[in-house]
Amino acid sequence: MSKKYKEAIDKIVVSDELKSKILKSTAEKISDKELNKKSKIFYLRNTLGYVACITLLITGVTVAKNYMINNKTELDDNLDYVGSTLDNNQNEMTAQGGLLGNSSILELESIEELKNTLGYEFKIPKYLPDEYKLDKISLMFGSLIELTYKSESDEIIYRTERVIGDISGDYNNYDKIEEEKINNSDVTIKSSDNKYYLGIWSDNNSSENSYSINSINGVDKDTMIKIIESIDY
Amino acid sequence: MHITTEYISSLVDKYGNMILRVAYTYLKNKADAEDIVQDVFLKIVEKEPIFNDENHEKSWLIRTTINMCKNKINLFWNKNKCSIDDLIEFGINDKYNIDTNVLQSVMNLPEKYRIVIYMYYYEGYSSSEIAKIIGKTDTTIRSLLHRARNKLKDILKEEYDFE
Repeated sequence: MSKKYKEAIDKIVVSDELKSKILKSTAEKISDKELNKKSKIFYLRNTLGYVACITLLITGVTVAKNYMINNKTELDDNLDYVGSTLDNNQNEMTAQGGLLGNSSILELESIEELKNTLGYEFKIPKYLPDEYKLDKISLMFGSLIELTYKSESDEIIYRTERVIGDISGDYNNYDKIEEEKINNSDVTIKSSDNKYYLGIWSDNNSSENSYSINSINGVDKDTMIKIIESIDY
Repeated sequence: MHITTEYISSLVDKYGNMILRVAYTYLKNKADAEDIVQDVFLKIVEKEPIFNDENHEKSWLIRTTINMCKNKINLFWNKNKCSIDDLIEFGINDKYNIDTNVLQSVMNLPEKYRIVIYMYYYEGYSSSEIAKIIGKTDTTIRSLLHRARNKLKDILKEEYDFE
């Protein structure tokens, strides 16, 4: 140990002025750091806010997109139900001159116009009780012919189409189902309480036409058979 | 650790003189040494170091002071390439008014001897402790102490009391 050296070094001390300067400069630095921390938290909070908003927006868009896709799928399913034959019919129509356009039901003024539109002959009832008058001529889905006859109390709908099957669109359950041979065709007649509502049949030849007669309020059996018998060229 | 002005004030009271003495021993300039003291405390605020104990705290402060002195010297020489006369004119000769032959003799030794003399004879560190703090080997520190003592013996003659 050097006593003289120690005594000399002991005289080197931090003055009050220097201490004040140190405390002032460090206090400013501490204050700046606090401010920086606060602004970092502020920016972090803002950034998190923006991220949350963007996430919410993306989620919203995704949910909306999925919702629309699902709805579209449901709509497509519904359209499939209606349009299972539509595609075939439209294809046929296209082959026959593209007559359907955007409408699935085409109403025409006369049988002649319908024949001209279709481009081929088709059978129509030659007999209906006097009170029934032809009210509407329609071509549905480009190939299903529908003639509506109305009386004051009833409505008879005749349908024909170049397909094999039940084209009546009447899927009610009736008490009685009978098979009758009319015009060399096997006709299914459906009735309840002796009122005949529906007759459906197909040609027994290569033309593969199907037909239906549908009375909304029912007719007697003779009338039903007589109407069906009258449907011939 | 949360740094407060109260904590800094307590550190200045406890270690301020030591930091100033290390810096002055290194730089031989009062104003520069005082700047270093300020810078060391600002570094504490900036880094918020966590100390295991008082020894760790003290050695960290000495090491930081020495590093900052070295940086200041390097910066000075890189920016100001001038003659010794210029340095005196610009106040490089700013010293504490301590008129003792012993201190003058120590301060006239090269920097590598001055700092080991200070740490060994004033702070009371062993050669191995000094080696750890300033990042040299124990043998180097012993060698430096030996050479410093021999030089001081030659200079101080009868005044020499470093034992």
